[in-house]
Amino acid sequence: MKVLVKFFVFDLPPGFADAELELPEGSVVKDVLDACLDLLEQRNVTMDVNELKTATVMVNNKWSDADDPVADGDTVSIIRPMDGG
Amino acid sequence: MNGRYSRNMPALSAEECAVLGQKHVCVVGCGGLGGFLIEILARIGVGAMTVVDGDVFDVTNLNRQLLCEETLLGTKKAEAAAARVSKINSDVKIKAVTEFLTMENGSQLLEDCDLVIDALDNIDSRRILAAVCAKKDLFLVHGAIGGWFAQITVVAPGSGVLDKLYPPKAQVPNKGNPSFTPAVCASIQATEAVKLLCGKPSTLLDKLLLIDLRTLEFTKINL
Repeated sequence: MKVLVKFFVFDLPPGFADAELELPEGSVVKDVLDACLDLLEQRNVTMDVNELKTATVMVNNKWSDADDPVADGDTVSIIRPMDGG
Repeated sequence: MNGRYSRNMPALSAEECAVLGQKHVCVVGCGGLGGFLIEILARIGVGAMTVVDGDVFDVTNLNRQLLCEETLLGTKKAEAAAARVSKINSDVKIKAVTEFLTMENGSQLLEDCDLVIDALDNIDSRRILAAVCAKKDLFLVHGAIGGWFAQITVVAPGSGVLDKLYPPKAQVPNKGNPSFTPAVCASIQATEAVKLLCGKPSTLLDKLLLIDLRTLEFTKINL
């Protein structure tokens, strides 16, 4: 199955595009994040693993936890927390 | 002062300006976001403000915090905010609270407020503020910054949005705080505050605005 991943407010290189990831059936949000790490490595992007793995995730605009399932055609939004003021 | 608010109009009606003059806003945090927020709200004519911060200015604040001046290093931020407001608009009733927000003092600090603005700089305090706002049935205008990025949302009392935005193990790496980022974020927070105070619909209720100033992408996400 395929899911579309969108990265929000991560310090990624300009032009880093949303990504369509191929995942096995039965995958959960945690699997998407693992696949994202592989994707970042393929694109030679360095990122703190914890920064990605502790980010806020929404699947089709609904808050989601690491164990929540994803399905073919889902859009997974990954939002980096920020707390500065 | 005659004519003080004439340039608010017609963007705001005379009636809306009068309404603002009757409102009491609590700004929690008088640093990067808070400095700009307090300035904007004083100039537009909010009737009363409680400004809360237990911190003092240090040299690292000079790059971005509007209220921070070289001569004010070591001064309590909330006191500097009150002094600034008095110079800008003596019609604003200003109360400076020179202590940090806690679960213990929160209810008292927000007493008689119509709206609360989150200008804090850490997750724990933001969670406390959201909890107190829920208890007091107050709307909260949240803003946060990091590097070239900012986020703003309007939190309905008890909606739990901040708990979702900040998962328990959230890691927030230091991305720096250049001067332009708090100015953008605070301006949008103030815009939403004015809408709410005037009884207009908030554009960011149940929506999260994410801003990337590197690319100037503004994205609204439904919550």
